[in-house]
Amino acid sequence: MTASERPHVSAAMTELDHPALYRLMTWLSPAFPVGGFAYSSGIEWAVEAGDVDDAASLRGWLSTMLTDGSGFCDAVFLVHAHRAMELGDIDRLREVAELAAAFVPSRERQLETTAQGRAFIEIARSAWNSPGLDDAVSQCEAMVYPVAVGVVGAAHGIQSSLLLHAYLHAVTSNWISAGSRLIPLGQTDSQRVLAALEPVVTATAVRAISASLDDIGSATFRADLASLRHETQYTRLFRS
Amino acid sequence: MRADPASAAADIFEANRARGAVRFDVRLQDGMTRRHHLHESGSLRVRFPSPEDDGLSAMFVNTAGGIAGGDRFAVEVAAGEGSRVTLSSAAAEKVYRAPGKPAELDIALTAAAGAHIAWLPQETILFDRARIHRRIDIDLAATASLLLCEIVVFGRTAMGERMREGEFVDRWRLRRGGRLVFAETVRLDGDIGGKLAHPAIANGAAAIGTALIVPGDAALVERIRESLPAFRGEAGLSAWNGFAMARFCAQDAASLRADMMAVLGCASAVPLPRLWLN
Repeated sequence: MTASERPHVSAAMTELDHPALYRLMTWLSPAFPVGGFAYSSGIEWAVEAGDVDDAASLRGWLSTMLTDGSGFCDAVFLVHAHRAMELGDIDRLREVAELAAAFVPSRERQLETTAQGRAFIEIARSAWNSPGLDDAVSQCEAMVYPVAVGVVGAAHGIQSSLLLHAYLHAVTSNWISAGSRLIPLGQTDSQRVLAALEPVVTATAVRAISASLDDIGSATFRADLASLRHETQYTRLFRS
Repeated sequence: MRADPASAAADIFEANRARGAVRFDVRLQDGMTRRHHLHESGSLRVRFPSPEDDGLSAMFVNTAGGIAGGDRFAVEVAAGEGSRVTLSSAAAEKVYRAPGKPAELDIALTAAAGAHIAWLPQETILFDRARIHRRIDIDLAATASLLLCEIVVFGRTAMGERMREGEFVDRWRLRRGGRLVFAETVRLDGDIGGKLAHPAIANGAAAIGTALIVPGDAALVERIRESLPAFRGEAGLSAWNGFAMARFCAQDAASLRADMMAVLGCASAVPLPRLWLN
């Protein structure tokens, strides 16, 4: 497909969006220091157990995590945190933040999302502060990673669907990075997995944008088990 | 009377749905836990076998024999200060194939200061095309304790049946001292057979289970790991936010039950209900 066959891309991206693009690429780049490289979301155990051992099985595992697991749930939390922040509804934001913080399947996954959320907020406040951000942060007990991204994005007036795509891309890339180090997988194969997951990310984002908090749900029993069993894994590169 | 045949059929369907509710509270009196107010309605009943120790045992009986689409059941139990109550069920809960509306099952457990609730029902068996929405809301005072287990079997595995389609939504919210410490919603719908085959979901397993232990910490998890070096199915343990969790996934319900019993046996200071020991 040529660029001329996709007019909506050029039409959607106006000059007004350029600062948004600049910020999104910064915040959700692997170079943004939230420490994502230290976490594998249980993929390290899945590789150890033999559930993930090549590009195809990695793609299958991650596709399920996106569609039926933490990918979808965290996407919904991001959208609702963004919406509450946009509306200035602090009570609602507190409720979303509380639910998202409790919605973790293991101690290590809690560490993963809490530490990244805290780091994201701290860096945003230091380098990318925005009116209302300090107040929102002071009103919530904890902001896990997707909530932190939703809140900061809204404080900067970034549209939630763009923010959500960038977030899911960052999370998926980080999972692939962990998987490719563990299996191991070459750089080209890693890119093939990322390319293959693009429609899954898009479909997950589309579902999440219109989902209510009641629609949240996951079914990744064995991916959750993997994050529990990772606690006792003998040799570990990752903290989750 | 409405003339529309579709809505008339819906009315008949609605009128034939089972309703059931059990609500009761227990209190500590002279060192013994006693039943206080009790409300039973519809096809859900509760029996209180003779006490075996200072705690009270309650057993739920579904006289409808199972749960069908559109049924609504509610359980509410409140344990007063210092009381101890063990809740279980007389039989595995069967959730039948449902063509229309999902069944709804709401469970609310509340424990005051120093109270202990053990929620140890037998497994829930989801028939192929079963549809159920379940809620479990637990509200514990900061010094209350909880031992909970839930086992879900996908299909009548004893008959070689597997769940292929249907809807299973299971919403758990656990509060301790007013703070939400654990929340989860399991959502399985559509092509459930295909989903259960995915390695990240169940890798073809027939049963899953969860145990929650409050209070629970890393030391408790370590103790369980040391006593139980091996399981029949897959099992994982963790502790955070002041509670401990054990999760299970197995190819057959019997293995899962055995693994669950082993963990509960390690975690519980009091004996398990006799039903569990059969």
